[in-house]
Amino acid sequence: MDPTLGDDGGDLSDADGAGLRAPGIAKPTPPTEALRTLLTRRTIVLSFWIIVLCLGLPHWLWTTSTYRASLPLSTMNDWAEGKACDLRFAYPIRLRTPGWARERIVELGGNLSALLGHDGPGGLLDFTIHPGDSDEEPLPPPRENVALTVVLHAADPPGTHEVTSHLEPGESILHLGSGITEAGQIADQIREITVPQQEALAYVLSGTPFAATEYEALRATRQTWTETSLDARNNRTFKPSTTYHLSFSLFVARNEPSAWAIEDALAAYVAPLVDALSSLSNFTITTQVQLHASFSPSIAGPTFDEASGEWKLRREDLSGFVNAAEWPLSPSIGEGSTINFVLYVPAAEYSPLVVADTGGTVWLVPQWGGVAILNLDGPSTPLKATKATDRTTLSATDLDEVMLTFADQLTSLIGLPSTPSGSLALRIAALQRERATALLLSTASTLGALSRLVHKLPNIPIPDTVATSVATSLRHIDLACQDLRAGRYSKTDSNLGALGNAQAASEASEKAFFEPSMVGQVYFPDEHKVAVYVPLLGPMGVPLVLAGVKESLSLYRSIRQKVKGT
Amino acid sequence: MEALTKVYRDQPKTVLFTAAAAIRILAVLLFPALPDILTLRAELSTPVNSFKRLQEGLFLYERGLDPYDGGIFHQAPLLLPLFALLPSPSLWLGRLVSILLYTGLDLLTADCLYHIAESGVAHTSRLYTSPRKDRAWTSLSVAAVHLLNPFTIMTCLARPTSVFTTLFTILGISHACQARATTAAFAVAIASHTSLHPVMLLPPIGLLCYDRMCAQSADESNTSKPNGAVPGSMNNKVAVDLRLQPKPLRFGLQFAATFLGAEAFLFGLSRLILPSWRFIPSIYMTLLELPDLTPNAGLWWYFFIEMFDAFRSFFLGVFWLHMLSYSVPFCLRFQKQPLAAVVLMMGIIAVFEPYANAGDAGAWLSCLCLLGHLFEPTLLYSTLLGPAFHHLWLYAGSGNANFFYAITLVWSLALLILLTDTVYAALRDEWEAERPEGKGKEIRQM
Repeated sequence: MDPTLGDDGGDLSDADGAGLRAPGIAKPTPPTEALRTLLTRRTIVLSFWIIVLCLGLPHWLWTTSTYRASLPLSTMNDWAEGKACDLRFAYPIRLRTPGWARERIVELGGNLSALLGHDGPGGLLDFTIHPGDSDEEPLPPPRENVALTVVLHAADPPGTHEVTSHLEPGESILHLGSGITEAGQIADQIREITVPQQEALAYVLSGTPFAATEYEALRATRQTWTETSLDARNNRTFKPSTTYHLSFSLFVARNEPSAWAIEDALAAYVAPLVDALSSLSNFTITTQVQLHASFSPSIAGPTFDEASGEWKLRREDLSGFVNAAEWPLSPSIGEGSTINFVLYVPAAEYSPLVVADTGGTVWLVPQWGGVAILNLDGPSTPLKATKATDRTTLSATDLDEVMLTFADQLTSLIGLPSTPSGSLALRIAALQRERATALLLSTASTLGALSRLVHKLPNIPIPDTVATSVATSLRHIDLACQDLRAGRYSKTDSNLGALGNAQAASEASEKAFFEPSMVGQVYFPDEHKVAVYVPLLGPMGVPLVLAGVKESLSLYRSIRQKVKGT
Repeated sequence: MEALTKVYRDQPKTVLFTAAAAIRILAVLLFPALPDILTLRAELSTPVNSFKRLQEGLFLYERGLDPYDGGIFHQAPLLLPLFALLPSPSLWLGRLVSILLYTGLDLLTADCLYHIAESGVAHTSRLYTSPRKDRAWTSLSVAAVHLLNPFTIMTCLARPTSVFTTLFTILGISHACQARATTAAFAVAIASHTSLHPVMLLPPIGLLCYDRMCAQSADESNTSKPNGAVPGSMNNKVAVDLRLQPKPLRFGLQFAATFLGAEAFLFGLSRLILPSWRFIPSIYMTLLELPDLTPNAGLWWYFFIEMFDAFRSFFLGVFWLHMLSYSVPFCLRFQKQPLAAVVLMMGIIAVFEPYANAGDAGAWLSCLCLLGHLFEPTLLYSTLLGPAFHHLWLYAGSGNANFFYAITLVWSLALLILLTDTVYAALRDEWEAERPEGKGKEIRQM
C-alpha cells in the first residue's frame, strides 16, 4: 500500500499506444513533466525523508540505547583479588596485675608482646598488650574493645604455686593462678585460647586471594584433625544470616500429650542463649503442636528389639524420619533461614523409641535443625507423676533435658566454636570474627564476579540502582576491613562494627549482582535485532530509499545539464 | 399517500433525518438488550472510547473523586458533566435517553456532511475543477449514506465516545468549507482534545480552509458576477487580484495559534472540574504508550503483546511517525483537491490508529462518499460489500486471538485497498483534467 502513496507524482504515461503501433517504430517517450509536478514530487519525497531523519533517527537512538551506569571496576577487581585490604585481626589484651610494681608490669608487658608477636602458625591476630592502669578491684569496664583480659592472681595466698587458669563464663576474662608469673607461661595460656581461633580464621581464608602466601605453606603443618573438624563444622552450620527463625514443633504420634509448657521452657533455656547471641543475629521463635503425626511411608519404621525391650529406629531411617510431606514445617519464613527443632512423642505401643546403634534419642540434621524423641512411658524414663491429667500436657520438667539439648544443638548449628569451652563470651567473639571474615570474603568475590560480568557482556543495561548498591557495598567492606584491623568487632552506637559492616556490604553486593533488570537483554544477540527490525521497517524503507535515490539521481542529472547548458 | 410523496419531494432532508432517527429509536425499543450487547463488542468499543468505561469514570466523578484514579477511564473530562445530566443507563429510560443523545449527534454529523457536499468543495477548488464534476453525489445521498450506514447505526447503539470526535472533526471540515478559520480550528481542537488523532488532520483542514478563503476573497472582488456559480470556479476566467488573497504563512500561523489557544482553553476548563491534572497523562499517554492491549479492530495490539520490552518504545514511535508522515505529503500532493487530502488522511487514521474501531471506519466510509464523483460504480459496490461481509465474520468467529487478528488484518486490507483506489482515482482525475484525451484509457505508473 505504501509505495503508491508517496510516489504518485503525475508519472502516468500512455502505454496503450504501444500496442497499436507498427513494429519497428520506437516506443514514444513520455512527455516531459511540468516543472510544478516535478517540484511537488521532490518536496513530497523530501518531507518523508525529513520525518525519518529528524524524528525517526533520534527516536531510534534514544529508545534502543542501553543505559550503562559507570561502576568502579578497578576497585572491585582489587577487592576480588585480595589486594585492596590486608586482612589482619586486632587482638588487644589487657593485663591486670593487682599488687605488682609498675616497672615489673611494664617489663612483663614488653616480654609478652615480644613473645606473642613472634607467633608461629597463624599470625593473623595482631596482639597488643595493654597493661592495666589501675589496681583496684572490681575491674573497671573495658575500653578500646579489649578482646581478652588477663588477670594475674600472683598475690593470692603466697606459697601456693598453682598453675591453673580458668575463664570467667560470661565475660572474656582469663584468671591465672598464682603459679603463673612468667611471660612465657602467660603466653602459653593465651595461645591455648587463641590458636584454635587462628586456625579457624585461616580455614575460612584458605583458598581465597586474601590468604597470605606464607601462611599457605604453614597450613600444611596444621594437624589434619583440626581441618576435618572445621570441615564438619562448616558442613553443618547455616549460612551466616542477620535473622534466624527458630521453630519448635511438637509432633505426637497419637493424641496425647496435646500441649506443652513451651513458653516457660523457652524462657529458661533458649531465651538467655538467644540474648547472648543477639550481637550476631536476630532470632524469632515460633512453636507449634501437631497431633497424629505419622511416619513417612518411605521409612521402614521402628523394629522391636527383644533384648533391650526397646523399639529401635535404624540409622538409614533417620534422614527420612521428618515426614516433610505431612508434617507442617515451613522451609522459610521471609528473610533468613529457619532452624527447626522437632520433639517427637511416640505412640504408647512404640515406646520407648531409640536410635538403633547408639541407643540415643537425639540427633542433629545439618543445616536444618535437630530432632529429639521423648519417651514418656518407657522404663528408661524416670517415673513422673502419672495422674491422668498430666498425660495431656508436657510440663516444664519433662522438657528440661530436651531443651538443654536443643540449646546445645542451636549453638552448633549457628557455628559457635566449641573452644574455649569455659567462656561463652569468647566463643561468641570468635564467631563474630569468623562471620565478619566470611561475609567480607563473599562480598569481595561477588563484586569480582559482577565486574567480570559487566566486562564480558557489553550489551546488558546497568541501571543506577546497581551503581548505588556497589558504592554502598564498597564503602561498607572498606569499613569492615578497617574495623577488623582495629578490633571493633561488634556493633556500638557510633558505628556498625566489623560484623555489621560486613553484613551490610554483603547484602548490598548481592542486591547489585542479582538485579533483575540487568538480565533482560543477556540472551539477545545482535543477529536477532535484524529479525526484529527488518519485517516492519524493510517494506516501509524500500520505497523510501528507492524514491530518494531516483529523485537525487534526476536532480543530479538536471543540475549537470544546467551546468553543461550554461 | 400523495401527501407523503409531496412531503418527501419538498422536504427530503427532513424525511431522511426523521427516518434515521426512527430506525435508531425503534431498534432500541424493539431490542432492549441490543445496546448493551453492542457496547461490549470489541470492534465497536475500545479502551479509549467505551461507554462502559465512561460510566465508571462518571461514577467516580459524581462522588467527587478523580475519575482517572481507577486507571481504566481514558476519555475527555468535559464529557463527564454532560453525561452526569442523563439518567443512569442501567435503567430503561437512561438507555433510551443516551440513544436519543447519540441519535442527535448522528443527525448533526449528517447535517455537516450535507453542508460540505452542498458547498461543492469536493469537486471544485480554487485551482482545479474536476472533469467528473457532474457525477458528484447529491448532498442528500451523502447524508443518507452516513445515516443509513450499518456501521454508523451500530456505533450509535453502542454509544462510544469517539462519536464526539467524529462529529467535531466533520464540523471542523464543514466550517473550513465555509472559510471560517477560527471555528474550524476550534472544532478540530475539541476533536483532538477527546482523542489525539485529529491533530494530524490539522494540515489538510488548514489547507482546505485556506483554499476556501482565497476563493471567497477572489469572489468578493468579483461581486459583479450575476449568476449563482460556485465561488472560485475556474470557469469565471476573471483575473484575480493576488494581493487581496490571504498570505499562506500568516494564515497557517494564525490557524495553528487558534488551535493551540483552543486546546489550552479546553485543558483549563477540564482542570476546573477535576481535582488534578491526571487527565492529561491518562488520555494522551494511553494513546502514545499503549498500556491497555485489549483486542480491538486495529493493528497495534497484537504487535505490542508480543513485542520485546526493549523495543517497545521504539516501535510505538515508528507506528506513530508512520501515521503522522502521511499528513504533509497528502497536503502537498492534493493541493488542488484539499477535501480529498482531508478524507484520505481520515482514512489513514481510521486504519492505523492505535485503538481502531468500526465506528471510525464507518465515518470514513461516509466521508468517502463526498468524493463519490471519483468512483467507478463497480469499484464502489464491491468495496462497500467487502467490509460488510467481513463484519459478519467478525461476529461469527472470535475463537483465538490469531483468528481475530487475521480477520482484523483482512478488514484493514479492505479499507486500505479502498484508500489506495481512492488515491488513484483522485490522481487520475487530476491527470485527466490536464490531458482530456486520456479519458477512459488504461494507464501505468512509471
